Amino acid sequence: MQVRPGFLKWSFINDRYPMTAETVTATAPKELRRELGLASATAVVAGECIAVGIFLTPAGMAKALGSPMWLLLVWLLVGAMTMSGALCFGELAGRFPRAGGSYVYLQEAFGSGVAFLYGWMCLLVMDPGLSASLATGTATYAAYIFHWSAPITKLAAIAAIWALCLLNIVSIRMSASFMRWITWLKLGVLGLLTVWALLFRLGSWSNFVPFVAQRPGSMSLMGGLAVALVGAFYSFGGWWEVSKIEGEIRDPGRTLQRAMVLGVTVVTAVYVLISGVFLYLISLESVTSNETFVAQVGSILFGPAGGVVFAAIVVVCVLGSLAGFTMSAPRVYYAMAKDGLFLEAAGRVHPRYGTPATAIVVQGAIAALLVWMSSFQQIIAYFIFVAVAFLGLTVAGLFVLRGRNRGDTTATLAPGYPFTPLAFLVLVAFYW
Amino acid sequence: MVAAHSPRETALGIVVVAAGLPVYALFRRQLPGKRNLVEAD
Repeated sequence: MQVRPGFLKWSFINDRYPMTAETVTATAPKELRRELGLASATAVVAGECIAVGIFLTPAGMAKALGSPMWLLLVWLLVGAMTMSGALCFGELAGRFPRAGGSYVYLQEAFGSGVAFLYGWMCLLVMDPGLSASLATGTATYAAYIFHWSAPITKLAAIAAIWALCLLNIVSIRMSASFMRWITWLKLGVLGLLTVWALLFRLGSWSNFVPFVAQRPGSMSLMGGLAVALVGAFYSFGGWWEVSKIEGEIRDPGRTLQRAMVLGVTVVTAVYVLISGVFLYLISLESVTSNETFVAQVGSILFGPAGGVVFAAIVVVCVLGSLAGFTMSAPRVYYAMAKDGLFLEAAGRVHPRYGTPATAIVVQGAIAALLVWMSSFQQIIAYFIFVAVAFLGLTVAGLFVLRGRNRGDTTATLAPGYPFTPLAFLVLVAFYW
Repeated sequence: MVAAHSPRETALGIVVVAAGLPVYALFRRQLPGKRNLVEAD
């Protein structure tokens, strides 16, 4: 059967093969292409984690702990516990090197029912809700710079979602390039902020004294630790998302584990460094609330323009996180559809671009709707408990899968087993 | 600092996630003969 020339004019297949629908169907990719390497995967890990959390959490943590040493120790402790989770995910990724992340691992460990419920939660609310939240965060800080009205801000958030969706539909390689670029920009800006503060001696090292003792007015050490651990846990959130794009990563088992280790190391280093700079700039006694803390830091660093400069930094950080999320989240719906547990169209790979276009459109449409309805914050609050429970369940699944020796048994094993998954499960338990 | 969760919010979240079970059953009914899904041992 001959097909319309108009269609074939835009088809890359047209360049090499006769113009029949049969050949188009026969040569179109049915699976995702493995095109991403270590740099892209690491950028997704670091880019998704480092968002607005680093600017908002240190104040609350510092106020609760009242001690520079404990603040820095909590970041290191949560970094180490996150690393243990990342190592477990690395092994799971090596055992089951296909798209879907936790959906796949839960399916292998606990069956398709549990995996479906995870995917259902991601699809229905959690992933579009987080996308909506990140897009609105980006637009809100941009609105502060450009003085946008509320409706324009909302439209900008929706535009950001769709722009990233389109990029992801057209090319995973272009999306990965953007991800790498914006992550480098993010790290560069945070590095510059550190150098700026130290070079111009804008703070005081005396803010670190006393280094160990808690300041008057802080919480009890145990209470402060509990608050700070939860805050730090949230700031590290998102490192596992990279496992969802495993279907597009070359040498997935090895690459993903290295990317997670590298990414979590970078994130931990950034958090310790930035918290240290904040402490250098503002004494613990002066910390009042999260919002005023950011304004205080901005004003010390850049004078009256501090608010705008800081808003621009936050836009870069949050947009990078949204880019990573837009890249990873639709792969869960794609994996579900491949298993026949979601609309079949979502499991199709675009014949020209080789991306899960329908799954990306589904994600973008729900996220845009949530932005328009402005109800995502409440929705996220409803599901955050279940989301963390699924995260813990995924890591706990490693016990089941090792017991049954399931998946590719040549995959790199998580070192320190069984303490590695246990350490991460303790961190998850803190959240509860 | 943290999106705190109340027991009411948590319960509602669990109920909505559990509401996925009938949907799962619906998809499963269309599956036999097409694919073999992984089942828990």
